[in-house]
Amino acid sequence: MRLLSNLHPAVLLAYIVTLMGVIMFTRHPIVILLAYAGAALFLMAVEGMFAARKILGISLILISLVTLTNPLFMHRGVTPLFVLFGKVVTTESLFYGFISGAMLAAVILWFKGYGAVMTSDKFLFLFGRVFPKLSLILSMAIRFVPLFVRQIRQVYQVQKTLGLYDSPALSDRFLGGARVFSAVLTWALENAIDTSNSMRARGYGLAGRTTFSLFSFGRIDFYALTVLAFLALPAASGARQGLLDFTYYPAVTWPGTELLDLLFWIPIGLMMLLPAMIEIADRLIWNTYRSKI
Amino acid sequence: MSTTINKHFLLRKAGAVLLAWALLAGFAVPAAAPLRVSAAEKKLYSRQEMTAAAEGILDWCRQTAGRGTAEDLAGGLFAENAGSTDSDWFIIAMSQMGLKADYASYLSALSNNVQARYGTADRLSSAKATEWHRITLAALACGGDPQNVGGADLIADGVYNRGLTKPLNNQGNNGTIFALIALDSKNYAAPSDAYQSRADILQSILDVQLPGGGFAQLGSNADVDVTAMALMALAPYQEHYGEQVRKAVSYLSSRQGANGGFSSGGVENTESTAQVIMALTALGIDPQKDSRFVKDGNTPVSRLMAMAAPGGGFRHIESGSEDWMASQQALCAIAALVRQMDGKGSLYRFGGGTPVLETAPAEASDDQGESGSGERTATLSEVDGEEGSEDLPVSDGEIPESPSDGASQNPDVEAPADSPDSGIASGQAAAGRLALILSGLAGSGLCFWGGLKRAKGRKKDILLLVAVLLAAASLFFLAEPKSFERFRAEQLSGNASDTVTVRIDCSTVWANEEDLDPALKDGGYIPEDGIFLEETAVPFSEGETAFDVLMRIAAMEDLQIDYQGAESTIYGTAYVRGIEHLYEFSCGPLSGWTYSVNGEFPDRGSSGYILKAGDQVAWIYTCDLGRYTDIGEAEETL
Repeated sequence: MRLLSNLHPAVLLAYIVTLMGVIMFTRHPIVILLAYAGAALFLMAVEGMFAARKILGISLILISLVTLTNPLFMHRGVTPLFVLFGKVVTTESLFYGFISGAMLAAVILWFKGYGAVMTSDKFLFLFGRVFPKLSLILSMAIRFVPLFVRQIRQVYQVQKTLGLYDSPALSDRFLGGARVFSAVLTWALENAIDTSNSMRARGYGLAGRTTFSLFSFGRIDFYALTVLAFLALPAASGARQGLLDFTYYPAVTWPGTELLDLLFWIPIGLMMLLPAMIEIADRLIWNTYRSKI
Repeated sequence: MSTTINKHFLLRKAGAVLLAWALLAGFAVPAAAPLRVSAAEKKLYSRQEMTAAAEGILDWCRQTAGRGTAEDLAGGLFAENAGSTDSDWFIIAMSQMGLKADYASYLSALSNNVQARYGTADRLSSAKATEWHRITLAALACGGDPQNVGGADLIADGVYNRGLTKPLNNQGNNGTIFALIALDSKNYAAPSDAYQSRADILQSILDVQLPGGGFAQLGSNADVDVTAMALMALAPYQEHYGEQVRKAVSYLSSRQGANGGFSSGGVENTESTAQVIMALTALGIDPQKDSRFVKDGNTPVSRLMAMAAPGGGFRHIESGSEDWMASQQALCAIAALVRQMDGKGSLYRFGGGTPVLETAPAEASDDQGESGSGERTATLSEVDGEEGSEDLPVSDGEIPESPSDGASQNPDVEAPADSPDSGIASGQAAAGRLALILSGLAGSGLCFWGGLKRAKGRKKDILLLVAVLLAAASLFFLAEPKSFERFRAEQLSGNASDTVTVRIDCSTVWANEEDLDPALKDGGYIPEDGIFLEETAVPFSEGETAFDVLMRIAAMEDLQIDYQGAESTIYGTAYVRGIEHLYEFSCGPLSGWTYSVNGEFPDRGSSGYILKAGDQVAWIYTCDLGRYTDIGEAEETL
């Protein structure tokens, strides 16, 4: 995390904007799957395999949900498989559903990973001067989720000592969890009001309030931006050429590839996999250093 | 531990009773149509039953002719009429089925008959080439050589050089059809100096296929028997001409009655059903199992066997008595079925390998392609001028034609076999089924709710899991999953007495090429003339809407239709989104499908417009919201 955390926030922002610009405006299966793979690898490298598996599991459920629901209202496609509710389910609609789900999951995973690197103070630093109110609200929103999780954990532990979760049945645990959740929700509403009072008292939201942060644009940031430009420009030109297009209906057509297309695919692949590669390299270097102690 | 009679107890018990009733009623009682699996109810006939029926037919023949029960029919009764339709077909069926008989005696009787007839000016027949063809098959059945029967080369005189005397189709299309069957019976080759080659004959059969997929004896009234015979001729070429074969099979499937039988000339009869069975076995389709030919649990075979009389013979029509020709045809069908069960080929193949076309015939139907065709046409008109009327096929024991009762050669006008009430009945049954499924769901829900309150620990989880699985299963049944073939077969079923015509036209697309979705343009999904479907006749019954007819022709012609059902649109009528992958907005933001009836564009959705017999429906693709300049609407619509 060392390298990525020390980058100037503007670089991080530029990166995520480029990434989202590519992922959200394409339906090309390879690009989407690369994006998903890059995000998953990055998350695994940052949080560790064990913690990452929960969010990865959720993403897989999301993908399967979208895959299975797409044929319910999209009946285009030349290859009929079977008939459900009187309408045809085709391979093309299943494939399209799969890639749409993968795109959703990739975006979610990327934002999760991004959140690990781009903390709220970096965010505030970037937007504080330009959009003070908006960045304030955003930073509060970003703060809220971990706070909520922490509170749930506290309430859960207390309830456990009171004997709430002793029944082994899943349905009982589920009902118990619902009870805890409703308690924490009440707390959260009150907490929000407290927070806003406290912040107003300390002068948040007034014009001219400065925030202290230690981000300077160094040489390494310049190099990072150059690398990003080298990755983004071929991607943009390829997009204009139409290399990011893909047809699903009426039939899945894989566009023919030429050797020159590698000039497009290699930057795209690197763009998706770069954070993961950096992270893994970082960890390897760290472990090497530690082993020498 | 005492059981307190409280709310939960009652809930549990009530839920259990409801669940039990729903399970019993819903799954044990057979309901009409979709959920029921047809194979469980329909009877499949075994090889033993088939051979027993065949023996029954032969016994009946002996009895009717007053012969002894042990007489060898091949050498005895049948040989007396060797070379005629009365006997030849019996011999062909018996031999191909593998029954033992004195075929050698029959062969010698046949040779004598041929030799005698060759002494006359007309030889075997003045008008009918099929005489040569049938005797060819009979000779092969007896182990003879059709190229030397009593000194005559039947293949030359009857098939590839017949045109020198009279055109093959002089008597009707069955002449050409059986010419090809005779030629392919043992893969005979027409010499290079033959008047017509194999490819010529094949092409002339393909040329007369009607737009609906069927074949007619003469003219354009498709007939089930002739279509079945044409399929037997085309069977060796079904890979090369898969499209034509498929259309003909779809036609046959659409003509099947709800009792599994087939009609000709408006009358349901054994011969037509038998011919279809023979055609299906020749194509490698199992008439007892293929979903296209199972209607309400009835198959052509079950219908055929239902026509058997106690004496062993087969009736011609349901209400008739045992009939010689019907029994003969039934025996042929039985032989074809037995051959299929034994893994042998078509009834009319006697070995020799797969026929190979010497030259590939021209693909386009209007392209004559072969030399000599111009002369042939001249010969045809010449001949027709001279001997027009007497060469028209008459019902006097021709090569298997169902004897039509008099004039009407109109097989498209059928007596409505089953009342249209069947549609209403199945709708009620479907509603009943839905009610049962929902009550089953409710029952299981109540049961589990009551149980949940009482059960402790892990048992709750198991109960919950079972409840979820039951709910999922019920939903699964609600969705009515089925294979695509079965879906098509269900769309094709049903009897219809009238016809309307349907045309599907998207030619406006080419005028607005720049707006067209590139995937459609480059993928070749849109034909050059913009016609997905030319004016085609579709079977139709009273009260059906333009949408029903579109669905039926889509099933018949295998067109892709994407639509929104009537219940999900705001107007209450079905909305057709796309036909053959050309969708709304595929050619600009103002494009979509609209329909006209007899040239006028109705003001409501297709499922709200009831057609009359003979209406001409046209589905037109507009690129400009249906304005006059685009497709000639009566008034501008916005």
